[in-house]
Order: sequence, then C-alpha cells, then structure tokens
Amino acid sequence: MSTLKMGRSDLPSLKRVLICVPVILAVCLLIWNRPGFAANIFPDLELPVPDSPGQVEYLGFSDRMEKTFILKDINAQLALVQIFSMYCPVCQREAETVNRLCHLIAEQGLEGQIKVLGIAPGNSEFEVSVFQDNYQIPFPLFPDPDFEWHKLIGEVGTPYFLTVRISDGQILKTHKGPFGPPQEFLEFLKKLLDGADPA
Amino acid sequence: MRILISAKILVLTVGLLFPLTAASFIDGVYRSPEQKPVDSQLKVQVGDVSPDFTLPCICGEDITLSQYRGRKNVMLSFVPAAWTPVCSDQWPGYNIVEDYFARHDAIILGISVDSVPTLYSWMQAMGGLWFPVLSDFWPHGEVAEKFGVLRTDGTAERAVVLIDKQGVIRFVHVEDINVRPRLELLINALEDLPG
Repeated sequence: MSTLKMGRSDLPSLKRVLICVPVILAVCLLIWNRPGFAANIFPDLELPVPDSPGQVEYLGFSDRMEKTFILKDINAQLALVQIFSMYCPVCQREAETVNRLCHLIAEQGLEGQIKVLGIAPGNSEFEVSVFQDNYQIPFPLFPDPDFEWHKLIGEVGTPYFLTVRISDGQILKTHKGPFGPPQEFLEFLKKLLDGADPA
Repeated sequence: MRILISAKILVLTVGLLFPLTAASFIDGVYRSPEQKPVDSQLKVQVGDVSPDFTLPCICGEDITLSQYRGRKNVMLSFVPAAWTPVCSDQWPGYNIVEDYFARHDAIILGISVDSVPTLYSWMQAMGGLWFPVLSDFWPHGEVAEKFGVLRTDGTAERAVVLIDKQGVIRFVHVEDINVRPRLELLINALEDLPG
C-alpha cells in the first residue's frame, strides 16, 4: 500500500500554492466578468436615431434635431444593452425572454428609468430588420456591420448583456448567455435603480 | 526568488486560462485562422444547366438535385467546414427566413465536405435546421469540384448557387471564406427569379 507523505521541504511549495490559488482565481474572475479588455465605461460612439416614431418616442428623442445620439443622451437611469446576432441560435431562442423583460419593465412603470437596446455586430441593417420583425422586438436594434462597436466592447460572444448607468456610462454588470427568468433579472435591475452594489 | 517564481506561476496560469475563458463563449468551435479569401475557379455560370448530383443527407436519405426539377427552386449553400466560427454562424440565421424561401417556392440544400456523423453532431449543437444538410465527404468534395468551389485544402468555398425549377443556374456567388454572405444578397437573388 502506498502512502502519500509530505515532508518539511514540501511545506514552502504548499504555502506558495495556497497563496497563489486565491490570487489566480480572483484575477480569472475579474477577467471573466469583464467585457474582454474593454474599459468598464461604455464607449461614447454615436448611434443613429431610429426611423421608427415608436422607437424615437421610446428613447425620448421626439424633440431631438440631431440624427445621432450617444447613450448619455437617453433620459433614463439604466440601459440594458444586448449584443446579439440574427445568426446566433441562442439569441433567437432568447428573443422572447428579452421581449418579456421589456414588457415587464413597461408594466411596472419603469420604462422611464430603464431602457433596453440591442447592437448586432456583423449584421447589416436588413439582417437586423429581419430579426426585429421575426421576433416583434419592441426596443431599438442597431446594426454594427463592420464590428466597430464589437471591438470597443471587447469582441464578446452573443448574446451578451451590459447593464450601464447612463449618467456616467459606468458598466455596472455584464452577463453572457441567457439571463434566466425575466422577472428575476428585473428584480436585479430594480436593486441597481435603488443604488445597490451590482456585485 | 520565491516571489519571482510565484509571480511566474501566476502569469503563466492566467495566460493559459484567459484564452480558455475567451473561447468558451462559442462552445466547441474551432477558431480557424484567417484564410485566402477564394481558392478555386468556378466551373459554372449563370445560364448553365446545373450539374446533377446525389449526396447523403444527415436526415438518413440520399438527395438528388434533379428530384426538385419542376417543383422547387434550389439554393445550394456550400460552407467550408463544420465546427468553425463563420460556418456555425451562417446556417442558423436561415432558420428565421424560412418564410422568404417558402414565398419563392425555394428550398436550401446545405452542403459541406464533412462526413454525415460530423454534420449530424454539428447540426444538433446548432439546434437543428429546417433544410436538408448534405455530406460531400466521399468521393471527397466531388460535388464541390463539379461546381468549381473545392479549395486546394479540400474544404469547400463559402458559395451560393441558385437553381431554378428548370434546373438552370440563376445566381452564383463565391464569398470571401472569412465572412458570411449578406442575407440581402440571397433574398435579392430569390426575388430576381423568373416568376
């Protein structure tokens, strides 16, 4: 029968491992939870003001003269930005859930405080419109055909969600993949509205 | 010295772990390097009668192109290889435009040089498709070669061939292998089919 024995000389190695492992895990968690190497401030790139009157109204741009906007121009507290693709099967399956979240936000009278919008890396305007029509998406979607936004956000996979504090562009939380029951996700967003720590 | 060794362990471990976390957003997909955009010479053109072929489908039957003659317009969608990022991000998009194809009395035949079991597993991972997926695995790439879309490395081009109900080629497009053909390109080709 063999027995694993540890001598005194192994203790410094063990100590080193015990110190290193939590540090490595902490660094990995930090990397995992960030959108690639992007800064945790949402980029100030301009988006076109949508053509649809309903979406213009949703974003609060009815009186806006400019044809473009940045996130900070939206008069709300939080923005939930979905990175998606018409071609992504998970995004297709998730569309109904995101729609449901959007409807819950409206039903609970939070539409003035939380806005949802989507950005589609590598998708053309036509491809985005097919996705929007097919799933009856109630919030604005924007094509990013040349991956301009995608590079700034950190070339994340799809679907990917960024919760952004609009006033200063601070990315409070990122989430990759389906976000689960929409009511639970809304409760999380409501906590952020109340100023809770996103962690 | 010990601090230096610990720092090296830390850097190496993070370096090894980071690519895994980044890649895991697309589960199980091989990240192929940038390739020569087009690496073959087309053998068909618009106005030609399409070469006929029979290939095994992952659905368990053999499918012959001419079985659609007089019944359906057929869009052949050649893709280079299963389990690669752009290919995995192309056919699932066609799942939400089935009605466009139905409106134009058209079907897609997806073709790759991969084997039936490989294609079957790949389709399962993508959640299924409404159109048949055919394997041009053996004799390797024979159909792709007939159309002039077999690359020198044995994969197919990312190509689209639209064949009308009379079996005549109405549209041919070989896309840069590194990118996806725009959906509007295919929809416009469908809309241009003779009534």
